[in-house]
Amino acid sequence: MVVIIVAALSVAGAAILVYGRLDPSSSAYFPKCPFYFLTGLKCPGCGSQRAMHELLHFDVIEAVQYNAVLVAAIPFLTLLVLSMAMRGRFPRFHSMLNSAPVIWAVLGIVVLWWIIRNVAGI
Amino acid sequence: MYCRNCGKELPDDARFCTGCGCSLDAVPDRPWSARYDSGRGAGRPPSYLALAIVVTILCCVPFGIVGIVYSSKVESCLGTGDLDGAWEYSRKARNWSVAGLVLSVLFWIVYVVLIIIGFACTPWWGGEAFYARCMF
Repeated sequence: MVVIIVAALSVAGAAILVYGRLDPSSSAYFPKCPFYFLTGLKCPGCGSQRAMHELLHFDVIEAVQYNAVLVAAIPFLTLLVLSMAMRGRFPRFHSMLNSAPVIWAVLGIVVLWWIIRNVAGI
Repeated sequence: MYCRNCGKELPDDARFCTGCGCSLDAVPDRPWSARYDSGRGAGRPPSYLALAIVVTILCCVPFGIVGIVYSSKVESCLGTGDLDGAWEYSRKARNWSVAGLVLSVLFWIVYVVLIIIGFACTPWWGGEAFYARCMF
């Protein structure tokens, strides 16, 4: 468990350093999405690298334009991790966030986002 | 001897526990660690929803979506009281999400190694200053 946490923290630190320092929209060093490369269609995660760069510079509007779902997912993920950490003290909060309707809604949003961004070109 | 169900100390020839009433012949001799060996813990299994969302948005879409589907099945099984099924789906949700994560990390490692090899080769044609300018 400790190993996983240390590994995750060091990866996160390296990612913050790289994505804060370099701009994926102008640098040639960042990988393109394999799905976009193969199909020419955007996947739900396309634009995440550029959005992370903008978020690290506190430019939320630019980040939303690159990947709105990524920006929307961050507060939700924070709540999810909090609910897992405090599951013993707030079990109802945890079971509410992890209930089947919430998970189906997440799946629905991801799939809808996938379709809409390719149809509307966002 | 001790009762296998409640742990009360009993005479060696006892057939029923005087503490909980459990029949001592009928309880199968199963080591307590057996349920951990089968990957099944006690209580409600985690749904691994957060991990699946991270994998979907940040790295590996197909694996992440499978993870989300299995997460929802964990909760559906818990809703109907099927704890064994919930643990099975929880394990699948974790495996798919972790597989997506590992694939992405491998992809990144290969990518970074290729870039470093590229840098190592640039002095041959004097491009290192150009690359350094591009990067920073």
